[in-house]
Amino acid sequence: MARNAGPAGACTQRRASSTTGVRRAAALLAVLAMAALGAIGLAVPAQADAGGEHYTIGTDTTYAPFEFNDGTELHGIDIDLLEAIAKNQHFTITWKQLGFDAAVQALQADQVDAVMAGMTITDERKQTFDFSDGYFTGGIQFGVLDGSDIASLDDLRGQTVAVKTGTQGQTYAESLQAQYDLTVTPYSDTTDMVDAVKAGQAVAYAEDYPVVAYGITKGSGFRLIGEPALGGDYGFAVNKGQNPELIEKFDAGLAALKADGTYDAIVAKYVGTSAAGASGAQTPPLGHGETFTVGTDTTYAPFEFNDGTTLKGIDIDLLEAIAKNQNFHVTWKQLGFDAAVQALQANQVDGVMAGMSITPERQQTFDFSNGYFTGGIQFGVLDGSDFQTLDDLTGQTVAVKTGTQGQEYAESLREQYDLKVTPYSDTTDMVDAVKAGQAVAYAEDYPVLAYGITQGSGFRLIGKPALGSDYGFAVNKGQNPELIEMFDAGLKNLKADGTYDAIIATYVGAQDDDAAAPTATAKPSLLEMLDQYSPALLRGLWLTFLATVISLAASFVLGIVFGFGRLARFAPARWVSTAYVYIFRGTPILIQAFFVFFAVPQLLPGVKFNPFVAGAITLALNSGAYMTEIIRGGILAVDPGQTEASRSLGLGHRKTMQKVVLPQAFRIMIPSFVNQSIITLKDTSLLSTIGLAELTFASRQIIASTYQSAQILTIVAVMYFVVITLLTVLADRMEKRFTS
Amino acid sequence: MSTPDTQNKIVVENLHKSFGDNEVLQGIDLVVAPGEVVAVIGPSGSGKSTLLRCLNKLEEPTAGRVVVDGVALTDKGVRVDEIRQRIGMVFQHFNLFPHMTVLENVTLAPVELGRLSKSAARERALTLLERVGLVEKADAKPASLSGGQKQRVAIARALAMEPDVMLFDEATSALDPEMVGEVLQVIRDLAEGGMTMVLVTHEMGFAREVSHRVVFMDGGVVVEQGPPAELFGAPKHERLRDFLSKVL
Repeated sequence: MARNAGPAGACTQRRASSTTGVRRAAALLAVLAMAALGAIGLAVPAQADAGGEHYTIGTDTTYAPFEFNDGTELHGIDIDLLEAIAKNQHFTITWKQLGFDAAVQALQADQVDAVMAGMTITDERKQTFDFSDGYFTGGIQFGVLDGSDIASLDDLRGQTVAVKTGTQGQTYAESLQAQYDLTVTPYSDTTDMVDAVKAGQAVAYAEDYPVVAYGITKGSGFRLIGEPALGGDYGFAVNKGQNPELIEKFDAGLAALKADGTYDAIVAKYVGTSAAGASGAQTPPLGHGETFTVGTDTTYAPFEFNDGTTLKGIDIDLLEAIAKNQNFHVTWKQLGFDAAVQALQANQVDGVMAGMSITPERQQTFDFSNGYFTGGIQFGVLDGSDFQTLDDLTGQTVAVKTGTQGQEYAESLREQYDLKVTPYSDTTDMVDAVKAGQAVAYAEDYPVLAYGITQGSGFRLIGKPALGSDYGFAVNKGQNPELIEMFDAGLKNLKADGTYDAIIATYVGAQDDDAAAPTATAKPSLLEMLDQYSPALLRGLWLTFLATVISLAASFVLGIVFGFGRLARFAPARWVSTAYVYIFRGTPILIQAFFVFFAVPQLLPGVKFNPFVAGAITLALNSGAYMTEIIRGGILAVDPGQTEASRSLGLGHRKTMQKVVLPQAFRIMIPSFVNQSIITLKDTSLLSTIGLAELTFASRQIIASTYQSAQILTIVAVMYFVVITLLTVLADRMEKRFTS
Repeated sequence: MSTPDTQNKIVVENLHKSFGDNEVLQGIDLVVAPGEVVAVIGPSGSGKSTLLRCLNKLEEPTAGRVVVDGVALTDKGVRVDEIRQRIGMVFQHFNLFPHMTVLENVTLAPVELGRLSKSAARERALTLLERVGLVEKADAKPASLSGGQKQRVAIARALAMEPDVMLFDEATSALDPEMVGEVLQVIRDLAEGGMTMVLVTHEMGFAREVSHRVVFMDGGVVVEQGPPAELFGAPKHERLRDFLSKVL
């Protein structure tokens, strides 16, 4: 989500979670495109001095509330603000709505004069562009239902919050996880995330706060709590060294609009009266000694992660080696990235070592060591493939994860290499797409890729890291300068004596400048995988089994009720039963699951299910519709002569059913019951989408952390196969007993 | 109409039955006296079976009256299950209950309807099976029986309710020729025992031998009826002559 590159406390630059990269590149194009287009069409009367200049401005297509089309007209904070500034400063503008990345690219190509598109001011961008003063500070905030009692972050304690997978929102929520005892549930898209809150599955969701605020003005029914975090300033951009007068005018105009209240009015129009302001860092005095307490992340392999019991990773090994080299001691606090940064600001730790990108925003609050690692996005290709360079990717399909820097990077290369960029909703799918040949490469943070390679993912890196930034060790500004000195000195020594290279190589393979070529360790064998992950898979299988048994029992009852309903002489009973069958046979089970889980709690306030209950209800209702037809069909399949014979003896309808028809119908139904049971068991796998941690869900979790999709999927397929085969054998025996 | 119902086992008055637009029975009048054996003959589609099925209300008459044992089946609110207990029916395709043994087929109705205790029903069933010569098959499943044996069990099943009237709906049509005889023998025995019976049959020789009266139907009406010797010996109607020339 975020297009804001991380300021103090943010981790945008490192996680594959921000839109910065692609947007940055593409925006250039766009602005340039406009400059050219704009230049052609202008017949604006030129005035002698600054008064009548005309500029072409590139912007995004849709990034509400900053720019969006209201049917016919372009609206938004960016639009209104720049137009007000233009009026104030006596210049005219033509908008070119190109999309963010295209706008940035257009600027670089001189096709537009400037870009106004919710563009975060970052250090990297400053190398290419000149920015105005920041005109808006973005950031992540929590949205809660307006009617709820939650008023502050403290009120979230012990609650569940919804986030979108792989976004800054997730990063932020997870950074608060330990502090507030949060359960963070990731959803694959915004709709699901928001619906989860509406349905009561979560009490809040994390999102770019202007987006939330704009939604609120449009009646989304939410309310913001807490303060924006991980925020960055948005700026108006021109090419470096060009149009300096435009920046001057912008800044002057912005100041004027702020002074006369126009600015506030424009912002309020779109996001209400939410005060955007990040609180500054405190700098109370701090003592230091032989032992330093250093905050780090919980899991960011290969930089820091728990190997079952011990903390390891590049950051850990490196700082400990430096400590040894420089004769000091380190006590680690594994807090999560954002919590670590906040702990530093609150002087609860002396430094942070957590794959933290050095950014100018952060430099305002922290002092950094020299960069000890340069991150960035790179492409992974299958080790056995022929792809060696980006050129080899020409005309090919590459997989990316939706909304990540990887996607931005791939899309920035799209035109140049004629790439087809296919987004996937999660890492597992993206990686599997390449394994399965749906794409030839995927874009990912290269240390993550490289670490996967050492774990036997079977991939190889090509190209060079892009959108990269240096990771640094951070202390509070002006405090512990000796710690930074020691870090830099130690790092230098370690680089000199080869320790540094050894540490890096341990985690991401041999590392040199032109070709990062991590070497893979042997892939774990199927048996090793089985040994390690069978407890998790068996837990999943148990839930699969439980969901199947419960829903089948319920569906059998439903089938009897509605099966007889379908055959009833009483017409309304027939109508109701027929409607039931048509509805549940006529809609996909996935929609039914979403409906029960997300829609029902909204339609019936107070009714709310956990994923298991929602899943069992869905399966029961769905399977019940088929059971109804099986039972109806079984009864109708009994020779009518049987009924006639029974009735002619004087036996009533009820006795005839009981003694003559049903015993025979049941035998006819058995194979269909077995078939439906197997289908229901397999359908449980669909419930992984609403978060039921059954076997398929468990397997995907494991694949996401091990990359061993072929092995895990084999194990899982065998588990399903064995269970279903056992079920079939059992059913066959039962059938034989009944028919003998 | 003028005949009092109580003097006849079965009285049918102006019986009509339609399936959709197809009027299968177009006004039937028929009377069956106690102990009388009536054979109904006629070409396929003449309405014979439909007439028979109207006699125990397996088919709902469209119009007209059916009175059995003095009870008008066609009256509203009549308890049809009670009347059916007094009317046994034997079907062309036997319709034995395949999930039960022969004995269970025969004892089902008396036990379920509370007529007899289990043991009494069993005793009667064995007697009936003895009568139809199948007592040794009491514990067999219907699937293991021949067609003739099945039909004899079906007759025993119907007799277990001690009916006043027996209806036979082409009881031998589905049998191999060598098995027809054994079933006809059972029916013959019943006739000699004084059972009131209506037989829909294609066995002209049997109809002639066993029945007191033969009814010839065609096109949904009774075309001609009378003692078998008369009907077969000197058919009056052209349609009957034509029919007999084809089947004899």
